Amino acid sequence: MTKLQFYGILGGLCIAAYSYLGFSYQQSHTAPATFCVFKSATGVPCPACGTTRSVQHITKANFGAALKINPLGFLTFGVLLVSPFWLLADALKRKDSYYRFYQRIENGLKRKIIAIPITLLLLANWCWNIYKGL
Amino acid sequence: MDAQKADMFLMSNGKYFESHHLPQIRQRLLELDESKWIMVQSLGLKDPTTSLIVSILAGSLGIDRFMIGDTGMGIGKLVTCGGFGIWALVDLFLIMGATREKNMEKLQEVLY
Repeated sequence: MTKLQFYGILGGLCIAAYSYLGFSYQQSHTAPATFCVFKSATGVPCPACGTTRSVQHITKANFGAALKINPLGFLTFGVLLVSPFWLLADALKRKDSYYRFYQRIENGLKRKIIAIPITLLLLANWCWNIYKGL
Repeated sequence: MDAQKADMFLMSNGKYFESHHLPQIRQRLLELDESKWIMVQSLGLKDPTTSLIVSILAGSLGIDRFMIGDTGMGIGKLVTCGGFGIWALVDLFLIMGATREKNMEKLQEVLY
């Protein structure tokens, strides 16, 4: 992945995520609309289902409820909180520190000692999502 | 390496690379030491069509990105439900090119 692709995808995702979060706050009094292709096609929740609701709880400081819905919400919240500032800082300073950080993380994730526990955790979380019937 | 071997490699593996890379690959293969031929042949190149099928079936889980070795992007797609569905849709058009680029990166590790 090139630097330009990385910053483009991340910038686009940040805009989409904040727009969707704003939209979901407005629609909170009605039944939540799902954009999840996997859930729509199979009826089974995907590993990330419930992340939006989890992030909403985190912003209201209901950390217990957020953890119960989907622990991935904490990861998403962290990334959403940091990314716009880091992207802006890189753009202003004309540096690529976020891209290099991403490459370091990616190289770490390719090591079996890290990849296997993360995969198992994600699978366990997915099973929990299905059990909860999100 | 002789031209016959280089042409044979391109004929059987041409679909794994972008067309504009092919002349450069041929040139590098011709300059390549004979001892590296076995390494070139044993590269685990990914089929772009397989990536597209995986992207259609499980793109929202990021499995297509994991398959080609883009682990970071795979995790990104997985935890965002395929980038809110948009990224999964865009990747249907990008994944074949991304697979060919990854194959080129693999080949370059042997050629250079």
